Amino acid sequence: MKIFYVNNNGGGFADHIEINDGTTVGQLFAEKMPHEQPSDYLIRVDRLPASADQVLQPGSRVSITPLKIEGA
Amino acid sequence: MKKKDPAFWAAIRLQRILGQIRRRDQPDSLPLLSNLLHEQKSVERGWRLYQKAKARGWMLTANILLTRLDADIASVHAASRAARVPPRHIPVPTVSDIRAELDQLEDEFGGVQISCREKHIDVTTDPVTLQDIHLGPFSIQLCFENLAKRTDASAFVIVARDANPAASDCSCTHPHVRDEHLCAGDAAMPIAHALSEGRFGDAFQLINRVLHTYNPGSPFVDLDVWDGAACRDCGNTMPGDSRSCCDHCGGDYCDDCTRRCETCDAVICVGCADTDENGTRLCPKCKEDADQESEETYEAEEEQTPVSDDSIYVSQPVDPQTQTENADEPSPQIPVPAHAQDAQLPGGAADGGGKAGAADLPAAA
Repeated sequence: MKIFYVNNNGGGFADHIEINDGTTVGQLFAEKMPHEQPSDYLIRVDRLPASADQVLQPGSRVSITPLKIEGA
Repeated sequence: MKKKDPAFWAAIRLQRILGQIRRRDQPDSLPLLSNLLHEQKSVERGWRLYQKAKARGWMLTANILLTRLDADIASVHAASRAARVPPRHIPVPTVSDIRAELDQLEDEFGGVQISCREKHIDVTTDPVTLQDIHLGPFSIQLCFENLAKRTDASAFVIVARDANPAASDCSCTHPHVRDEHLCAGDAAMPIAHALSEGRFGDAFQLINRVLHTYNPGSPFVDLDVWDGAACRDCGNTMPGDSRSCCDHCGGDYCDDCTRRCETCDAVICVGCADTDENGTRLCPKCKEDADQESEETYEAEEEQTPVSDDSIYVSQPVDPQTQTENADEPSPQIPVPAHAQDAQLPGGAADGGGKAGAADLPAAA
């Protein structure tokens, strides 16, 4: 199924991606951010806070934003 | 008349602005096609020359032209590939998408202020505290006019609601904010992408996270000297816990520009420090006391010293009974110390009588 995935880490990424049916938020995070901790990020599904075990639906909008971003 | 919904009005305005930006920034495919045509012409010319060379039997020239023709064909192949890649088409978000973004701001920040007159969207962050320094909450304003000109962090205005600016720079209300503009650092690119794609919730949240993060590598003002003051003497900024106050003038000075009075141990600045005749460093009060004491000592010595600068005469108390009121009568003899009895004085006797050899002075009438 297709979801809209936004990753505000690094340079930023926002596009539709294909994921398996039944994928949870935690599984998506582990796949896309394998070396990071979910507690270091704001994770939103359809612009609302989401739990790790929430199952993603087709067309879901998932965004991941780091809690710590250094200015200059 | 139906009351205008500020959020709906703002969503329409933002959609128009994004549409204008999208049209303005549309990539031009003409340069890529003209390059392809140029390479094609090179192939045609090379082919004509090769045919002529071959017809005239110039095999060496023909071989050289064949090698060049092969390179020109490769260039055509590369140019055609570049011209065929379509630019990534990002659709302008719908009004309902933008409205959903504004609703997200309401949830994330506990409220959003939309000013139709001033044309900006305003959210307020939680109070920011970095390294135990309270900087207060900040207002993050997205100005529509700024957004139309540039889709990056400079479209935002950051206003301190309970400002605690740096002691050395009142325009710096946050280590990464000066003159109400954020230096976004690592967030610069994601903010730019978020704005250009209409993800306003992400853009505001990215700025919020930068405000809650301290980067000691490149702040406008280091937090270590945030509450510091400038030394009144050398001008250097001192951390709050390493500055000294002159006990005399009350000014703030760094440790290098202060001294201690060697009498009362008071802290004094270099400007207030003084020394006595022995070179002892004194504060102004001790210096004054020392001067007064010295003056009193001098006066006391003066009272006991006769009016003569001849060092062999020692002042003796004058017996009041021997004082004469008649100028004609001779003055009483002053006893001469033994060590001075042999001294030869010009114009005077050794016994100090003062009579022999002295010019006879006429008696006073």
